Amino acid sequence: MKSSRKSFIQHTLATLLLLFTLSCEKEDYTGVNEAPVISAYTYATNYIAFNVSSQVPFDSDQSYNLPATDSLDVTISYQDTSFTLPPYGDGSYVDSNLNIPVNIDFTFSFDYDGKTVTGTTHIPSKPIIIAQSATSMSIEKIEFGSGPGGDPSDQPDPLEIEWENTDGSYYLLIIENIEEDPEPIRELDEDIDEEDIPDFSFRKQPTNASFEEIRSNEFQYYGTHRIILFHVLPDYAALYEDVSSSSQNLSNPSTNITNGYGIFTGLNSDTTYIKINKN
Amino acid sequence: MKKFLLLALATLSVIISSGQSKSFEFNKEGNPCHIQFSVFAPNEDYASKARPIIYIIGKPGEKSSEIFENDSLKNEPEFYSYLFYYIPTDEKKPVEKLQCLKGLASLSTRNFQYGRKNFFLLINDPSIQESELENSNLYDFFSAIIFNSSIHKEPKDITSSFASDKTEYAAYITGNGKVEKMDEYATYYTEESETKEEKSLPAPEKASKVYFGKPSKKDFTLSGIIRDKVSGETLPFANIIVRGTTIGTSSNADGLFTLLHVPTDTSLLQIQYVGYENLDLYLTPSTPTSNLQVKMYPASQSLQEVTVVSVKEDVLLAKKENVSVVKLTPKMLEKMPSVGEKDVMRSLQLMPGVGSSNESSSGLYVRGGTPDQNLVLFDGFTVYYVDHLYGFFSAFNSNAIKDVQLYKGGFESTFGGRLSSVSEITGKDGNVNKFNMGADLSLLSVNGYMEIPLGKKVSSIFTYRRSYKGFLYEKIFDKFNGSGEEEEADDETTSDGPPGGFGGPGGRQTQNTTASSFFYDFNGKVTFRPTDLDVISLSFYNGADELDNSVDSDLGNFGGGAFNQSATDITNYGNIGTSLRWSKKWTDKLYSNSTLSYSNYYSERDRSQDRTIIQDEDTTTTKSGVFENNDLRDLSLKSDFQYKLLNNLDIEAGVFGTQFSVDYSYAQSDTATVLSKSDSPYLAGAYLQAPLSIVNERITMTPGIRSTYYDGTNQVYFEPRFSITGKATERITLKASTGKFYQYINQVTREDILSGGKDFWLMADGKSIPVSSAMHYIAGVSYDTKQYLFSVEGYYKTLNNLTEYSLRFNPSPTGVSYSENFYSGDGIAKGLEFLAQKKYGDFSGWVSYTLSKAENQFDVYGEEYFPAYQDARHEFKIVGLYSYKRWNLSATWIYASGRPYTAPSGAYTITLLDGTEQDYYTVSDKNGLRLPAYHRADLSINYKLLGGIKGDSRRKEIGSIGFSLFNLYNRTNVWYKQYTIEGGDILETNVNYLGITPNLSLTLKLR
Repeated sequence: MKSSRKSFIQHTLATLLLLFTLSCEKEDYTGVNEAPVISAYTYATNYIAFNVSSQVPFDSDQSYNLPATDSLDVTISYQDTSFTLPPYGDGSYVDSNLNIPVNIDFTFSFDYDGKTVTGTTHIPSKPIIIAQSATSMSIEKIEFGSGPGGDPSDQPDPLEIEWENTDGSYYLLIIENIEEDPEPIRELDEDIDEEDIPDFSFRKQPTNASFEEIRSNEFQYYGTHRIILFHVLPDYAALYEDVSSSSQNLSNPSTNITNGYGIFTGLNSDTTYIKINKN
Repeated sequence: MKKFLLLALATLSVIISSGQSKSFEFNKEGNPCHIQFSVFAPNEDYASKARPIIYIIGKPGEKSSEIFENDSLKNEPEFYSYLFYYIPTDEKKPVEKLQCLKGLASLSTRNFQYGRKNFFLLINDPSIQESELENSNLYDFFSAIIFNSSIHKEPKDITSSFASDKTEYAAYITGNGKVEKMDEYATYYTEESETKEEKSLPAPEKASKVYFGKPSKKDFTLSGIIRDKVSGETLPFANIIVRGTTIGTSSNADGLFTLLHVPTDTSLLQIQYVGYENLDLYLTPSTPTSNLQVKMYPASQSLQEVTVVSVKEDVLLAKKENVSVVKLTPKMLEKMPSVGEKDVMRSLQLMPGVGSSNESSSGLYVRGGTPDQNLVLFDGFTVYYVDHLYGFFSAFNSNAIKDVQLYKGGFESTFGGRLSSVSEITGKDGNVNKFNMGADLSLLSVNGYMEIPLGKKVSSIFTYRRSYKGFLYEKIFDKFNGSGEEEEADDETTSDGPPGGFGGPGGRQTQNTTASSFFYDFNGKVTFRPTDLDVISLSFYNGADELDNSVDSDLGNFGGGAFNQSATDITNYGNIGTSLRWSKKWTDKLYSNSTLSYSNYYSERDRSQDRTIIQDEDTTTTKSGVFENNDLRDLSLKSDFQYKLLNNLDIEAGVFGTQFSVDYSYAQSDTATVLSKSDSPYLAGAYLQAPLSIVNERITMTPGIRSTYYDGTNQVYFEPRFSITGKATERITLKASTGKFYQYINQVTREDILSGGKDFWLMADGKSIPVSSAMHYIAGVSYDTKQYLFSVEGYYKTLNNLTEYSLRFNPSPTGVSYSENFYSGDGIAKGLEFLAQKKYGDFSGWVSYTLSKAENQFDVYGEEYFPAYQDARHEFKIVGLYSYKRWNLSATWIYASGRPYTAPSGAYTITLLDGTEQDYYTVSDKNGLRLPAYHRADLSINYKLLGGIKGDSRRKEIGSIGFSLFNLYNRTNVWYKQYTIEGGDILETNVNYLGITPNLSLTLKLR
């Protein structure tokens, strides 16, 4: 009795184990995606800068067999019009004679590896700056090694830019110093590394509000600054979203390209200026 | 005197062993007290010193073997665990006989427990008169002395004369015969001894049989309450069985139990509770049949080498009579290795079927389920978030916990609302006898508690724990927030860095991290017992983490000012929970339990930049960044009823209702909210189940149904459940269960590394977030011996309508829509769990192996099933506990197959309009790769601190000193991988879990 009981248990266990083992099929989940990367901005000024590149392979032994990126037939079409972009080298295609109307969808396409890579966008309406709180601002020179900020009450009022936004569209402000050799507001260390020299331009985050504030301490240089207000599409705004670089939550980035990655978007802008004076 | 005893010992030698009885000789031939006598133990245990003895003086002329043969008492089942001495009278005078008997009895019972209460004398020699005894002071020695020359005719009279109605003792007889009264409300240890004589000091008291008579009641109902002897805490879910039968039950959450069909009132009850010494309770006719007070001793290995036979210690009970249930108590937690704190959830992760390789989550991954599929109940209220400090510690203070039950699947209709499992935690009621307090100090936290009894009916306990920025806290905090490579890498891809145009990663400022992160928890409970059958308790819990990773930007070595602004990175999250419980045992057959509870989980995340501008006397502050808030409130009422309808049929029914209120908001500045959800659905329902025993109680089946109306979808959901256990033999139990399970609330996990409060809860709405469901199929077998438990369980689960969430921009022609970012899909989990456990002894522990697979299929990732994040093919765990004198050693080793992860297949860079570049990764198949296997060993050593001075016969335990090593051999276990693009190559960096981490702890307590 005892031995038969024991063998029953053994048999049951063995069967369960076998069944389970059989149910585990071999796994192979890895895969490689060789889709090309598009970076293309179409400005309302009838200018398109279109770039095709290949991805950086994860594994250096791995290579992407992209066709020569300079010999693609990149076709732009809208309404009844269709034309091919001229190659510019290094995967770039540029055309400054477009005549695409605002708010009209247009599409690019080219064939790659038996698939048609394509995307559609439009040029958004022209943004209109309706108010600018100041055209100039005076900022005190900050000596090298001085403490942080000084007296905050000494700071000039921030510059406020306001524009029309009735439909919750996305807008982006870019501020760039346009002087040839501008003087930094904060004195630089003589031994400063080149990479630590402040950029001549800075940007704000895309926003769907209708105003933005630029504080005096955001300016790095004296002189005239151009302020460009871009009306951007959500596709573009999405590029600013946090992108994970951790294996825990990698997922393909959002894109509006079919059979490819990157961005194909239209832009429209308005421009104003501000001068930063030495106090 | 001592010399005499030693001499006598030497003369007390075995002459022959006569098969059944053993013959001995007292003194040498020629000595006036030379006696050749026999000893017989029906249970063949001649070693026990905690037992009753009956001395039988034979009739004149009878030899000891003849007295033995003529004695019928030895065959009575009531005397099974007794020792019999058969003493012939030979030719001596009555006075000599009695004096010699006294010498023999004194010597043979040296160091016996309970002294005279256990010694009985039966005199069959008619020449000995009662009057002679009065001068012999034998009455001081024996509990009862019976004169009976016709024992075989009237055994009843004799047995009833031996009766005693006392089932508890507070007195002990020490080796030198001195009666010592102990403070019974403390745990005592007997000191190690150096000489042989002193080794056999009495161990903690054990109940023993004191009644020798015939039963007066048969087939009756017995009810009572089980308590900790030291603190008076009631012990929930203890096992009570009638020895030699299949009759048994478990105590309920209040420690109350009812046993039906107890065969006789002389039966032996065996009571087991994890971490306590098994208790044998001999019933007598005078034992109360209702409201019986059963008191159990915490398992405390006696420090002497010669330990009492019946001291047993249960380390873990994979309950053999329940399907997929494991149990844990703080007594056991004290012995398990830990990172720094005794931790309930961490210890549960050592059980088979519970994922153990996720150091950054205290939540339980049970059988391929996720932590949100595990219902966590603390004193009846739901706890929605169990992590402290990024998940390295659980939110539960072990000083406040009395009992934990983990139902790994196929659970009863009593529970619902979760797909996978239930962790039911019962808090301590507090010492009902005496004021008590204690404190723990470790490298991580300080922890204090106080137990205040108010009169006989009210007890209370308050615990408070708070971390401090010690070595251990810093080490873990820095794992997440250190300025290491991963931190910088993350900065590069974070586009909402400090505005002001430093262009992302370039800013190498001096950063001052604010040192104000900590966690704390507070537990309070007041229990009022107006009668022994009513319990009213109010339990309160508040635990929170405040993680502050804010950076004050100091002057850098480059121009431009970051002055007047600071980057805030604060995460506050925590739980507030409270419950008001009333339970009543109306009759032996009807018990009810009602709970009104409130639970609140909140998470506030503020990762932003502050700009403060002071102009004249006005201060303006603007904020921008990420603000994520989740606020969940749960107000519930639940009533359970248990009714013993028939002898073999219980009816268990209940009603429940919950009003939820869940707010979630995600904003990018204090004016621009991008997502805001606010739901306040309710659910209400009822359940009914009927445990039924058939085939002589060998088979127990529990059919049940639970139905729930959920307001969020306006639907009624039915959950049929069924479980069956069968005893194939006394040792082999077969079990199976199945059931349907629904879940109405989902925890969404954003694996945002920089964020502590990465989890939030959302209610199902039937549209973007469906109500998820699961089916469980479980079968298993266990083989149980006194020392060992072997168990195998297999499970297969299907899961439907799981929800995943990603909060990303989702561009669409009309703007940005967030609701489209909920993905739903299905899952399958299956596995086999093997457990071999040594339950008792100085060395105990278990070995477990789990073979499992968990897969999901979400349409968004394709039609194929992919491995779930928590999938680990093999998990192997060894837990060893060893006790030596005042030392407790424990060691664990865990091996788990590597978890799946998603790797980039490539990457690309886009130049943005302002000229900065942004990196993006394209990915391989979802969870297509595996991290290296996870393995780790932990070790802990614990030394008991005793009060008093060395040499005292008995010393009170006042605390312990512990030292533990986490990750003993400094295994580099990969947590996740981090990617950066540099020079046209993707660099992969491993971010690892904790390396070798020591911890010291000191525990002190009053009693």
